[in-house]
Amino acid sequence: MLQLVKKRLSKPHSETSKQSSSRKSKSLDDHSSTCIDSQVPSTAETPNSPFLNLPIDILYLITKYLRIADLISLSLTTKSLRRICPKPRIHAFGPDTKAEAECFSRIHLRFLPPVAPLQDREKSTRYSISSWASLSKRPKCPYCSHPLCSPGCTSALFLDTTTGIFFPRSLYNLPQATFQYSPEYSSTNPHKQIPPIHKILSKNGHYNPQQSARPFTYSTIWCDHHRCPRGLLIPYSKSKRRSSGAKLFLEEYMERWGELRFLIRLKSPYSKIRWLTWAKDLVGYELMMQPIRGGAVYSKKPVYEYGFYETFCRHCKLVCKDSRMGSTVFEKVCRCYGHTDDLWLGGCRRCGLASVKFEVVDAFGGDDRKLAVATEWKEGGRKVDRRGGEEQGWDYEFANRGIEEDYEVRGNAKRRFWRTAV
Amino acid sequence: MSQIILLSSDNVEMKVDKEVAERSILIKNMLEDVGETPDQAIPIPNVNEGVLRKVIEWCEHHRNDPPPPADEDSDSRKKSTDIEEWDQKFMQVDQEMLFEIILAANYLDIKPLLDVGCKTVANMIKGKSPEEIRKTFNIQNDFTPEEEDQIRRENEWAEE
Repeated sequence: MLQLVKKRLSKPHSETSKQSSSRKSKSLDDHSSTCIDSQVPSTAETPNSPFLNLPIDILYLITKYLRIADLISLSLTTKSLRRICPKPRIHAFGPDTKAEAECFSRIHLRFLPPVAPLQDREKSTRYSISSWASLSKRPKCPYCSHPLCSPGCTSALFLDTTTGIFFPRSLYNLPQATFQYSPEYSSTNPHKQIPPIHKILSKNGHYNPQQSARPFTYSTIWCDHHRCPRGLLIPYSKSKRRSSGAKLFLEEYMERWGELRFLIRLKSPYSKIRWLTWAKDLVGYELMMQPIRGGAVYSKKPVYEYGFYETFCRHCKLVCKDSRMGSTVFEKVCRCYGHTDDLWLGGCRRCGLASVKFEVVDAFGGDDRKLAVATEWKEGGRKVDRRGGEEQGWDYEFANRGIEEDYEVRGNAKRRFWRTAV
Repeated sequence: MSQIILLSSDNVEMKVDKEVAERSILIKNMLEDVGETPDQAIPIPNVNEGVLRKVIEWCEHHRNDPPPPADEDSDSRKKSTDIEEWDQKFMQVDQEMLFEIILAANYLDIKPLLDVGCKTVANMIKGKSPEEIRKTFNIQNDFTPEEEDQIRRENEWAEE
């Protein structure tokens, strides 16, 4: 009998145990072959840490008791642990479905720049280990509670509280950036009121030079590290599939930025010849299948994306349009006097103007609601990308895209417009 | 009450109540298979005397505990790292002994003891910076500063 006992005990317990344990542990004899250091070749001579000699399945059990931040800290201790520690994911925010994953990738690929090489990124986005530990103190997105980067994040697109448009950081005065839902307010209630625009302006509705440039207020930041409330960009999704974050976003959108619904109007009311101030970019083709007898015929249907161009006042961050006629897109127009006041076009003399290209994003499941994201802007005759770097001018781009430039003369003003060749 | 004899890896015999020894699923299953109480010492080849005594001490204290629930969801959510006061004191040993206890609990298939051990180690990691963890477990940093910075950036969106 003792022989039997010895034989049994020489085997790993998982082979003898009647209990269907999920832990497929190795015996003590085996652990040297499964320990972390032997699993992954290390480039450094590490002292014989008992911790690193633990079998991987034991380490896995330990990691189940750790939070993401602790897992990251652990994975930062040594290369071998880095390779075996599970890649940290935000469980609550990861895409659950293929459609959600697509939503994440769409906003990332279309509107956020690729991750820059390390040396190109600013120090402001670098976190020390101590600040890393205080992650939980960072402001959170009111729509999905994801921690937000600081306004200095190089890839940041700010959801402007006044207009509901995503603007890049370089269009703003970053030191004065104010997060609408700062931690003292509820992180899930997006309905804290902000002063209406008429209170920011002077009593007669014009720019008050005594008042310094107002700090801009943002509702959330999209960047490399935070993309959108899940479901925001899912095409054709049913309303019931929207995440709570997307619902909050939609609620705020409807309440505050209802004017953006006019984004679907493509034609300028100013022009008799109906110039398109909108860019219509061919982004690809949708493959259409038509079944016929004995097979199918395939055809390609072009897919377009739209964008539009506006001149913005850099003081009030509102569009410069004839204040008597308003804008096709924006409900509020700049009333700053100084730059082009003789044309009633507004514009602050001190802060200047910026021509901004907006790209239109179908949101909330493809119904009539759209978001606008400022993707390029131009100041002083040069085009600036999202990172603030100079690129070739729009003229170059338009020539290559078959977009024609034209002018509209109104009084003494000569406004520049573009029309597509489509 | 019947007793059995356990033989440690360094050939030290220890008499243990069968009920206590059966906290180990490995021994329990083995005894059930054999069908009778063995009169010779049962070798525990991978556990030395000191560790085996600690394991037996734990089993004796928890001899009347209800059996652990059937396997929990392996894809478990965050688990509590709360440890009973007695277990906390029991685990106040040097790191080498702590890891030996964990390994022995794993080998002998004593899940509650294994959990207590893992929780203890997890508590040693929680809230610490990578450098503090390195100090705690005597781990040498083999990352270059650039690699460390890169990894930190990759995970900068993470939250609790």
